[in-house]
Amino acid sequence: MIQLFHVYKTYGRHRVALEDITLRIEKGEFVLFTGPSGAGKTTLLKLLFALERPDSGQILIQNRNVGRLKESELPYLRRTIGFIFQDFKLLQKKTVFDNVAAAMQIAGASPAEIRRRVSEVLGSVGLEHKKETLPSMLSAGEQQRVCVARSIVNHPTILLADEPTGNLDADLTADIFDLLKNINAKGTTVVVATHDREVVSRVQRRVVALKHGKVMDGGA
Amino acid sequence: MRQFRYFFKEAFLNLRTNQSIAVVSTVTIAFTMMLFGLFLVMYLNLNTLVGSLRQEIKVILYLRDGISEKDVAALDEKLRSQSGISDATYISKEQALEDFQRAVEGRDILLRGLGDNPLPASFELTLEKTFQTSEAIRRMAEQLKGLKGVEDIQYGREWVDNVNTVLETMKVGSTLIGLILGLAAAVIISGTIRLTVWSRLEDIEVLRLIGATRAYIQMPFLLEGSLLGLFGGAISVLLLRGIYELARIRLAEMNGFLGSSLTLMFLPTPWLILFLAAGAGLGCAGSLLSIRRLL
Repeated sequence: MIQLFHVYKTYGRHRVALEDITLRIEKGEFVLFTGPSGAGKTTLLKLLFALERPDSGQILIQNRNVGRLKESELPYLRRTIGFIFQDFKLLQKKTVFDNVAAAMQIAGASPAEIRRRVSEVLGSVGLEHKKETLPSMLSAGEQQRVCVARSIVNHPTILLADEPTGNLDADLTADIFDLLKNINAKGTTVVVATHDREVVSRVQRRVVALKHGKVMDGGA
Repeated sequence: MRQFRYFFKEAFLNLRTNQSIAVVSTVTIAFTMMLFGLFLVMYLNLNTLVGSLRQEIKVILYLRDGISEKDVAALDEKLRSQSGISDATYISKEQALEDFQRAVEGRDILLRGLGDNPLPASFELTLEKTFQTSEAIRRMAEQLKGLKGVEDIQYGREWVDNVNTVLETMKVGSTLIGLILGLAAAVIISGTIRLTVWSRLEDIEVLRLIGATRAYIQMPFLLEGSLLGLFGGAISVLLLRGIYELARIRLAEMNGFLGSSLTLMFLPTPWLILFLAAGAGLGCAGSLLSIRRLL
């Protein structure tokens, strides 16, 4: 499903973000990227989501070489991968419903399909009653759940999450990870970057430990 | 089609969000396009006026005194078969005198001392439309000059030249002014769209992250620019119509005073449609200027 071969990424001349990363993630796996700040977790996710390109090495996602995709092909890749952001990245002037619907509209779904599916996913994250609310009126936990709903609304085969609970308290963190486990249980490959050791020990899934841009444990 | 509904919705939402900027740029575009429209109306009316004046362009062939009737008949036949001449009317010496006497009726002093009829016989030639240019008339005059019995040729060459020069200047002038004003309108719209894009940069980033293509992101801004241009164009047409009506009233008063029958024309419907389409096109182009750099 996801394969990385000797991937390198450097920012500027000297700041090495990733060094010789070789990694394989199977379909349906739940993988946690862990490590301290600056370990390269976010860079790794950005490479998988094609927000950045590797300096060298190959990244294959569903047998497509992400590093070689043209700029115009990236939107179509992103429609098959869900991404949960630490800072939610919601459209502030749109309602909860419209935020989630946006991902389907972009993919060209019909209005009826959008209504049905958005209600379904909002129900699954427990926010159907807030569908007409603006993000600014929601708590951080609720905003993150909107972000989760948006990331899964197009039935992605892969879900990436960058510190999805970084801004949430312990109870909300548990809620979000329960949601991610449910999504994973339905067959979606889930990759989460987190520096929270408590989460890592509670989730009990495969851990890839990173330090100074290198895989220290759990690789390949 | 579904996505077009979304694009329109977003474009109107952008306009509503940046209402004051949208109003200011629409009004500016309206005045800019109105100026161009005024030139168009002026050009159109002058062109029509010149067209009707051109129909009055006549070439007069003065004949030698003592020309025989046989030569006049031969000349008549020759002129009628000449390309570029739609009509040739013979005016005898007697007829010419009669016409002159009628023209100066009441001012007998002008007729005193005329003695024998000094006026020559002539042919009055009406030209076909394609021959109503100064160059064509000059060439025809050169040909006719050599005909047997022809003494002199007269035509309003300077007048024809002047009218053509004015028309050409108007044509070049309105094209130039149209281009300059069009560019100004596009720059105004470009600035407005740039502000909208800046105010929505975060949203644009989010859309990119959830799989929006470049075209999907750009389309609402292109539509927004087109709508601004269209609204500006529509307002300018209303303003133009107002000015036209005022001018028409003044002209009617002047006609009453001078006994003339001048009329004014407004832009015909196909021109109006083109004018509005040009507004929308300018808006779209202005928008493109901004988003190509920003998105």
